[in-house]
Amino acid sequence: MKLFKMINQAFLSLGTHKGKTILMMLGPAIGAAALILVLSVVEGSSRGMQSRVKSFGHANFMILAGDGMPPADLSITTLTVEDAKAIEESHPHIKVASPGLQRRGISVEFEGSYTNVPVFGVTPTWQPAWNWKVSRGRSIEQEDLTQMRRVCLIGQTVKEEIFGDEDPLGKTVRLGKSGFTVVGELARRGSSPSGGNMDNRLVIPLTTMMRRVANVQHVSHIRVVLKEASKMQEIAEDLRKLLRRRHNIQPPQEDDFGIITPKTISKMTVEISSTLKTLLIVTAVVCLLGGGVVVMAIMLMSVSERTNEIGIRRAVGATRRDILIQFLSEAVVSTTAGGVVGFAIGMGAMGAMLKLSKMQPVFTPWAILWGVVTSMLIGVLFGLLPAYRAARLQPVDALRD
Amino acid sequence: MIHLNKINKTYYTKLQESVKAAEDVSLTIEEGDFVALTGASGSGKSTLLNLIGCLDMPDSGEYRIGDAEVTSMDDEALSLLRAETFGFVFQSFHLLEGLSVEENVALPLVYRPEFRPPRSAMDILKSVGLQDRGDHLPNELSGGQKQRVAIARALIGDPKVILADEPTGNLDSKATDEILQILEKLNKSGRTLVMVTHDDEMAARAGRVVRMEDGRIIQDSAKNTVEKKEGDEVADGGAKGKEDA
Repeated sequence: MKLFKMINQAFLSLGTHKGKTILMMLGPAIGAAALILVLSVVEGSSRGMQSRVKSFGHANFMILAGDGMPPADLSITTLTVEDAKAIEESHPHIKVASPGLQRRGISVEFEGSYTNVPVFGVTPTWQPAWNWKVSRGRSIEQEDLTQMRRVCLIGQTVKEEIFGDEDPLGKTVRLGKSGFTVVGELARRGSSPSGGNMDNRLVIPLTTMMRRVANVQHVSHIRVVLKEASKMQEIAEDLRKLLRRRHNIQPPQEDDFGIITPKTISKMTVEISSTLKTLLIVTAVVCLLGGGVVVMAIMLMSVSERTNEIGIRRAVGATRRDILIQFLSEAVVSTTAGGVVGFAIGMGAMGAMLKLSKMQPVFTPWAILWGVVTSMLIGVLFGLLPAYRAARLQPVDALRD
Repeated sequence: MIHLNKINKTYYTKLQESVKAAEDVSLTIEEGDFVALTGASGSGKSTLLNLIGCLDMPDSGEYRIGDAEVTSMDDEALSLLRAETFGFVFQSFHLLEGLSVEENVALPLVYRPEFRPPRSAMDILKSVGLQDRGDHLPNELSGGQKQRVAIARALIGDPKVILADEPTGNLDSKATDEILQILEKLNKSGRTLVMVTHDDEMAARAGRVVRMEDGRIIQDSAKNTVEKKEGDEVADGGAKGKEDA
């Protein structure tokens, strides 16, 4: 009851000093907005990464040429079709090891319409290994590879861009200098978890890709699918040894390939998102602390300007604690109000982000709690010293003109 | 009811000079008294009033209110005394500019939520003739009106003692007369009144005049004695006897 009355007094005097109140709200508002936004963005991106992990599959490896950080380093020529063959035969648990060669930004043309697409050279095992479906026509077959046929499968986006409403089956598209016959359409797959368009691609036989398009002897990646998820780590370690032997790598030389397991992906995901999180939270906390310093400065100013008021209140019966509580509640009420305003700003910014950018922040209730509670704590922390100063004043000193 | 015995208080100025504002002051004030504390400026009369009202604490000496020893009280108990026993009226009114007249009068109730005032803020404002000014702000009032608001605020807690420090120091003669009449009426209705003034004419309206000089009481009309400024022994109000309230 008494506390309620005193908080009411705090509201009254905040109302009479509107300018100062707004200044005190500002820092916590910005900090809380930043904090809420940051936590939502981090939550959103970590959910995105989780779904990427999920779509990677739980019984797969990717072996990439280079240091293993995707995308594979295309200039590294160490990974070969023979490696894939050896891997497939090395262990009874391995269902398939499908080699592939990828090139980005190759120009495709049909009757004057152009588009730039990533082109994938694959073997017939590519379809089960990557879980692709062919919606019309046929897939890439062994015959295509042995004869280095100029045939291709076309993704839905490419089809729309260069064929429009025309039926692409049996038509010839121009890829570089040579013509390729479209033999099938890939089923629509939508966007990948990282935001890329999975339907914007052309798939051709691996041998054609190596000899006729890229003119190389190596592949960029091998996709390994296991029969079951158990023994994953052992098999990964065996494959590593096998490849080191095949590539003649002696310790202390580093691997010239990278094995990516679901575990490495989730580890990477966690590392990225926790680094991001720490960085952004530090930013938000710095904002809040800055706001706190402003609150303290204004409150100290307030206390010295309102010395007379403190004296009057003491003269009519306020205890030291009453004065402490009043000034503390002024600080806490304004920073908490700032936190609530910051919450509104954060929500607004989140809405704008959803509409205007690729980022997908996820609304997280505990982020709001964090934003508002932190603002409140800032009020307590930085209001304490000024409030203590106000309470320490002797009534007679406070009343002196 | 108020009993001061050999009270000392020394102030230090910013230049570290010490000023003896109260030196071995002893004074007893009975319930219902109207005491004028008078003397030149710097004589220590305001300091004495602040000590009586527990706005300040003595360096040494005894101070009893009724049977309670004030000098050993903690902040909580002193605040309660200021809230329950004393009502203050200051020369510069000391109203809170951000609050309405009525809110100013009710301010002491914020710190005594369990207290039911015998008269509401509006009732008291009526008794000082300001019933139609309750929702005004202090700076819309004249000096005399402000002081009447301050008196109303002093009365809301129904105190036994009114302490007034130069209550008419900032007022013209008409307002001075109004305020004095209100204070006299309060005294007649049984409240103890201690008023600091440097004006002999005003002091003469009090039942008892206590004159101070250099932190000492040099004259007390109740004892009819004039102390020499250099005298070692100081008038002892305790001669009046009874110490209970």
